[in-house]
Amino acid sequence: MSGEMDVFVAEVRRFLDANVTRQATSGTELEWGTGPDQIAYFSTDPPDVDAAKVAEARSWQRRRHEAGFGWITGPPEYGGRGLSTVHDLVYDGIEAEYEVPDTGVLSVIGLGMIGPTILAHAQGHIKDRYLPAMYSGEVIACQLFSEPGAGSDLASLATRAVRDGDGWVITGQKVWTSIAQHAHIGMALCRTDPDQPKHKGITAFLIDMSAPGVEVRPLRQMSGGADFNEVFLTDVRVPDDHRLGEVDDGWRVALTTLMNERATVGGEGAGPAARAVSLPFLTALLKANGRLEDAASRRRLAELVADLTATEYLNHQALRRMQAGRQPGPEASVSKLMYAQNLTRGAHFAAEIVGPRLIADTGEWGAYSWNELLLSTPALRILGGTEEIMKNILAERVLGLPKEPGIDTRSPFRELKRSGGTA
Amino acid sequence: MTGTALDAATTELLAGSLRELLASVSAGGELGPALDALGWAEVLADDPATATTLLFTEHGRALVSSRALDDVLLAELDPALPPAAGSRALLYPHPAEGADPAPLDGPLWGVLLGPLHGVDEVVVPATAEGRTVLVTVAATDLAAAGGPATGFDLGSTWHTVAGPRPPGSGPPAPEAWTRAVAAGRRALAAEMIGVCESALTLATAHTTDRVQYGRPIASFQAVRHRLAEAYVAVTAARAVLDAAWTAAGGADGGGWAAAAAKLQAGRAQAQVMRHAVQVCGAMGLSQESELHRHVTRAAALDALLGGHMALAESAGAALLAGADVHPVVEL
Amino acid sequence: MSETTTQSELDELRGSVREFLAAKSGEQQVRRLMESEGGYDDTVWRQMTEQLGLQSLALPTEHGGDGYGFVELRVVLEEMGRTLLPSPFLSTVVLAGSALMASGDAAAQAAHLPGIAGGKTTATLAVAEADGAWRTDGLATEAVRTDAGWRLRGEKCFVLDGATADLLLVVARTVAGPGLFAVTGDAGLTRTPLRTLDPTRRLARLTFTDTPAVPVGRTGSAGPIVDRVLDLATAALAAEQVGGARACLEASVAYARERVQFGRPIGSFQAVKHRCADMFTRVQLAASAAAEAANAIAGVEGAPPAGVAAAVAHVVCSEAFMFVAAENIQVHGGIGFTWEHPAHLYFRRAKSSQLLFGGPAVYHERLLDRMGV
Repeated sequence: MSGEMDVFVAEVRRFLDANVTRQATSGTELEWGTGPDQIAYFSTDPPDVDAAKVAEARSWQRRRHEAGFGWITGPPEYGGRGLSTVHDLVYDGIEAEYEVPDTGVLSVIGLGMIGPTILAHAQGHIKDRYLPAMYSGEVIACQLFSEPGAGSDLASLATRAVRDGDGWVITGQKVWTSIAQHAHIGMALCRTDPDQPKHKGITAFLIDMSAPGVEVRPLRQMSGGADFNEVFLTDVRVPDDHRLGEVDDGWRVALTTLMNERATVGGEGAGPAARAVSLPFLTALLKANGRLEDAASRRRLAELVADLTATEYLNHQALRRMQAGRQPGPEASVSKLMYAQNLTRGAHFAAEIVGPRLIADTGEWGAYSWNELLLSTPALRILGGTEEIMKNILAERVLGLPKEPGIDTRSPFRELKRSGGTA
Repeated sequence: MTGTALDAATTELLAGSLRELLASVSAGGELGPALDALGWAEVLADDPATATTLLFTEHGRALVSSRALDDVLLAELDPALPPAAGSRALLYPHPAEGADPAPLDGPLWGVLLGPLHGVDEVVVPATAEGRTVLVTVAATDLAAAGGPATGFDLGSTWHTVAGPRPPGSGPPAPEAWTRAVAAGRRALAAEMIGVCESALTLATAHTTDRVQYGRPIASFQAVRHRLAEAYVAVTAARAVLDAAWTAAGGADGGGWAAAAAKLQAGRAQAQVMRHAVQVCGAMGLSQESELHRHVTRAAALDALLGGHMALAESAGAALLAGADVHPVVEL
Repeated sequence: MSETTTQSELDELRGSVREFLAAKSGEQQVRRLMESEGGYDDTVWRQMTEQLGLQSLALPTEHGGDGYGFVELRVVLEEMGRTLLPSPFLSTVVLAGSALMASGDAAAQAAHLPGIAGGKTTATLAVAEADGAWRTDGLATEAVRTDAGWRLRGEKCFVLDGATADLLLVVARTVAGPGLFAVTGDAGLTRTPLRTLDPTRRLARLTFTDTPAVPVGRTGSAGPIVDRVLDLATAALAAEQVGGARACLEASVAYARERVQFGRPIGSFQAVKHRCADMFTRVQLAASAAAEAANAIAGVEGAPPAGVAAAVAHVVCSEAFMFVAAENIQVHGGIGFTWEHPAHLYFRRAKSSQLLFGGPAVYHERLLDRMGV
């Protein structure tokens, strides 16, 4: 650990100590049956609360930005700090010790993925226009990638962009778009040349989400809430300077975006779901249900807690390695797979303990409230890259196993077999 | 006990009629009169095993919510009851209590499978001095204590009943109740199997239609192996259910085997739903998909008259306490 | 000391141990030793001292050790686990070495540790009796003080390398509570080698008939000693398990890349590919848990309490090795089920390691206990 890093750490602590409070040390004095009876993974907030939280997130991002932590890795000319990814992770690690507003609505997609893409592929005046505004919390960005016919196989997307004078006209449908309801801009991948192979004829654009022809409809997921959206694009006009990268070179641009899907090592340990699937909470649950002395329950508790704790160790070690200046390894994928597995097992374990009180609300604290988490767990293994695709990636890139043969990457997009049929 | 067993062709024909009939019930029709028109009583008398399994499997497939299960349990309870003063419904023990009726000296606590219009009296099993007694209550006396069940399965017509118990008692009928629970568990097992089959059909259709990387996703092993495992689980559940029917004529109404059948079907639904949701990917997560209705219905059916975890625990506890091992199938 | 060992020094240590074991503990050597009477190779044991100083690595300098700690020892154990090295290392260095250290008995340490460090003495710790439980209450074996000194009576079972160890540290009950005793002679001692599931790990029954013994540490103090030894032993075992699990993963991946069926390497089928990814995930998790336990024992800054980390590692590494050893056979198909293929040796080692200190029922309770449930 270098002296320079120590100086940085001290600066971060000064900023946080001056602005927010440290989290109370967690866990030990959990009082069963008190507090809000809510064990949610996805937001279950009504729109007004949701809007208030977005406002809070933007305001905290503005303070971070003013203090020089809004964009730690960004270049100074766009309001960045010009430091390394490691500094960024160190900041996150320290900030996690404090009570701060959740800025996920800004950071996960906009600042984490789309900002770096704009930086790498947009024209100068577009960077000037959007980057400082994004990293100071003013502009929220969403990612318009997935389509009904293009999920795991993203490159088979069909939304069309057709040249029209000095701009483009975009028509198509995007789906599973997080935060589209709050976003000011969206990064869309569009098909510009269907006569080329699927990876070749794609172009990336920045779309003004308030432009005519953009329609955002909430998508209600099986857990009951609507955290995602469908976005319908009907003859949406986009000026050519809002193109990212060259025409038909959008796949490379998209890879920049996806590569920045940052290793959220250790960053997923917060939230009511993780608090519920934890030793103190589960122990209290067993106690309240008279199952703490039951051998089968104890065994499952121990198995789960062992994996939860080992996953925590994995995250700490990854963080320590990065703090020592080493590159992140495959830990992030492992951590993500384990996170989904642990929460899923935890939710099912709790479901067994509360039994039928999970399916009919008897009004008891800490019983029926598990159902939102239970119904959300399938999403953990699907959204943001299905478990199957993650395993393919681990097996192929880390272990060096051969790719699935017979996947056509050469034929023109127009000739490919696709779901939905429209090209 | 049984009349002429139904042959395969007749069964197939009946299944088709039931499907049409249940589709009309889904659209708002009444199940009872439609079954009467089909001459269901005779079919049931001829071959109760095939008929019951068929009806409830189709009931499950169609995701219909009705009081058909009441008839199954009441058929076992009626002989122990005074003559009916009109049409009857049954109050089930609340799923939180498994198959154990609430104490007679406590408040009402249970579920009805549907609203009480057209019902004259409700049979309310209760526990008094360690035995099950069957109390008959006028439907109007229950109306105040009932309300639609809030919970997991939004598509069901279940009502939760919780409130003061109207005065009165009834004849002790522990054996009849045991037989009724066994019969109910066989029907519920069939219904869960139906929900599973329907979910598997959806998942198979989705993965066959859905093309990614230029091929139907069902051609990827990660997907097809999940479907295969789900299929095996349903098949095993069906086999145990068939075996449970061979034990149904026994002294306790085949209770042990019926519990095993419901346990197996409950496990199958957990596995089938997990796999089906995963292979349907993000589509399966949306409420627009039919799939989540299967997930919630199957879970609700599993909970009625004892969930699979509770059944496994009580079977284990009984065995450890020295209960006889009743083989489900005599080899 | 361990704080100053850099990553590259650890890598170097790993490299030299791996090179040594590649030459001395290949599959052929392991199979030969499986059939041998003693179960390990004396010459290799000596070379481990002379060429690499492995026995002395983590022992204190005042007793002939090199003064390193668990961080370094973990690397060595991982490599040993990787090749299934049949050796009394775990019993001698980890079980007996830690017991002597934990006893705080300077005289016993001075008497025995230099021999262990110098590769001249093999040793073990005998705790479990017929029921296999590693506990110090309710023991049948007793130690009685006579005019001629202490005498042991009773029987110990599942004693790791008990048939060959020069020094036996035995836990026995006394009027003052459970005590630790050293037995160095053969008088009144019967050693019975047991048939073992895992032929690379030898276990024996020891019968004591008025066997002369010397107390180690304060009489009645064996409880905390065994507790401490179990933390170290399970953490050490976890490191071995990670090594074995990694060997299984690597074997599966190599086979999946070269084995062709239906005209393509089987590793291109998702069923095989995803199985390998699952194995990788479990191995990574196990490696993290074992590393954290080693750090905790070595007192590295920021590490969790040693008891907790060791208990977590014991659960996670036992389960991971078992899972990976079984999946390894599945990936190999029929060939993996043959006697000639090494997959079953790892399967045997995985199961014997999982059960060595009591198995799941015990390690789950131990974890909950360490976490205060």
